[in-house]
Amino acid sequence: MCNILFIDDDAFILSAYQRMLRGSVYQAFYLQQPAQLWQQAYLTSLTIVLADQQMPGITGTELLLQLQQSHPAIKRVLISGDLTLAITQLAPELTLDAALPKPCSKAALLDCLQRLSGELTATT
Amino acid sequence: MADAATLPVLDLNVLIAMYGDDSAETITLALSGFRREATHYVQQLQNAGQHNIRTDSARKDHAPTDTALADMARLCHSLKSMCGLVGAAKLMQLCMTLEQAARQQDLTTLQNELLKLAEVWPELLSQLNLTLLQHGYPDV
Repeated sequence: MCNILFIDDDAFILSAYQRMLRGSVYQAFYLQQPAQLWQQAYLTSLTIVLADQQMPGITGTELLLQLQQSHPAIKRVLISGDLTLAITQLAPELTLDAALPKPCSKAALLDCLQRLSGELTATT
Repeated sequence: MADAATLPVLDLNVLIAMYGDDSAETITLALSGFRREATHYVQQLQNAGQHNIRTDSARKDHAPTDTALADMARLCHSLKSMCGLVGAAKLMQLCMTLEQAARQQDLTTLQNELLKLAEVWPELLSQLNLTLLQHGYPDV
């Protein structure tokens, strides 16, 4: 089982991801408050985290950098409405496993998740 | 940038492609959720326009703060993504223009484009209600 987490302050976008993954093989969690990430009991079970770039209080790249430092084994995916800008503003020490445009389609999302979970299978 | 006048108000083909599903259940779930959330965002944008983004002589001493413009850019950015999910192309285009104007602190463009919101949003709302009704959504 591949546990994934979506972080986005926008409830409508999270509900869209939920709909897109209905019936898929992924066990998905959804979080609207990025600051609450560290209190989640499922945190250590996650294999992939997908974070929106523009959120109140913290950007997706800042959050993913913290995640990289505390839980380096979790794959990191940035989702942004302006990927070009977001990537030029990346901290040099942050390594992303993938980046997706916002909004992203079900096909693009599943393709990304399959690729990343396949990499996990291949390396474990 | 596309001419807003030629863009569809609501293109269900986009929604179906994004969600990978053409069922009435998914269409009504997506459109009703969008209608609820977008109404909230549009109200916030209209309020911001009335209170902060005025370039007329009565408000020359009350230029919008950087925070107000940043908030407006953030609202437009979020609404733009929501529009992209359901195929609300005309409002998406307007949000792109508004977001850019807010980031560049171009108050004249911002004020002019906010006036268009008063035309684009009711047109979209009407189309949303009609489409929901056509797909059997009871609460229109």
